[in-house]
Amino acid sequence: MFGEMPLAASLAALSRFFVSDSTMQETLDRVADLCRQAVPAAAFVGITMMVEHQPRTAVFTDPASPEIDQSQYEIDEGPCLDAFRAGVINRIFDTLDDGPWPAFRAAAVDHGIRSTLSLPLSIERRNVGALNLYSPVPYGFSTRDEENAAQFAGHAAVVLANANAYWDARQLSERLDQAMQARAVIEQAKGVLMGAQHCTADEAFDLLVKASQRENIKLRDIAARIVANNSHPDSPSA
Amino acid sequence: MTTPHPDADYTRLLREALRLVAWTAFDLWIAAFAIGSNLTMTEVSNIIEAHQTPTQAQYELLALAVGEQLDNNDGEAQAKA
Repeated sequence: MFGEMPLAASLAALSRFFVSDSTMQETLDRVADLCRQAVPAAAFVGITMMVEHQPRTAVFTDPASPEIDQSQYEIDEGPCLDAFRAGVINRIFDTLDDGPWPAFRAAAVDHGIRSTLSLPLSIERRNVGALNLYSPVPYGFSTRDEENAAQFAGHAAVVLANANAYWDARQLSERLDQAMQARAVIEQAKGVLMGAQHCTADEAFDLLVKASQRENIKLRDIAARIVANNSHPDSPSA
Repeated sequence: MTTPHPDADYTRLLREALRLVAWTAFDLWIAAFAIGSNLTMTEVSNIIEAHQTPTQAQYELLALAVGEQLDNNDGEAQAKA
């Protein structure tokens, strides 16, 4: 039973996590913190994710984590990358032992890390990242720790996927809002020109484009100027 | 407004411009919408993929949208230099 309470508390905290209350970075930080609480054997935790099309340790609870992980990003192989790409769990019992990923093992030893546990963050067979746990003790992670970490990773992947979806949708909404505001000003300017020049909407748009090119000013800026001028007594002109 | 643009390389030019500003078809669609385009997202994708020939007005509007972003990038690069 020992070891289940931290996991239960961490999972409960994850389930209460409301993605819109935090930024994506805050969500990632929270997931890393809760993971460390769920698996107390971990001295620190990092999360490998794609950052600007490259795998990186996007979040960590200790700066040693990205320093160790950098060794695997440089040669494009290591337990965290393998967990991320292949969707498998990798446990290194003792980093002083011979085995796969010698560069990563050497970097871990240099930072006083003797055992590691890397788990995929997967949702519906799509890997969104990897959770990486580090211990200064050889054989620091038991089979129970691995099971708890895997259970936590399953829930964390859902939270991260939801947070991603939320922030993507919010960003899209903001961009659409900005586009509609810009378009509204251009439509108003077209209306002003149609009234002043007795032309069609297409002709008014052509006038706007020509004025924009002639004065080397963005279309929306020239449109805003025309709308602003029209609110003054002077007659509008492009 | 419905005459196809005579420039046969419009797709290549648009693609090249999109590559320069690191834009997707969606980025182009939203920028074109912001300046008055009535093209749907599917139409913009089809134009970029050369599955649809734009009218001259449509082509010019798409070119204007991506051209303003190129100007933005130039301005930012000059500000950094």
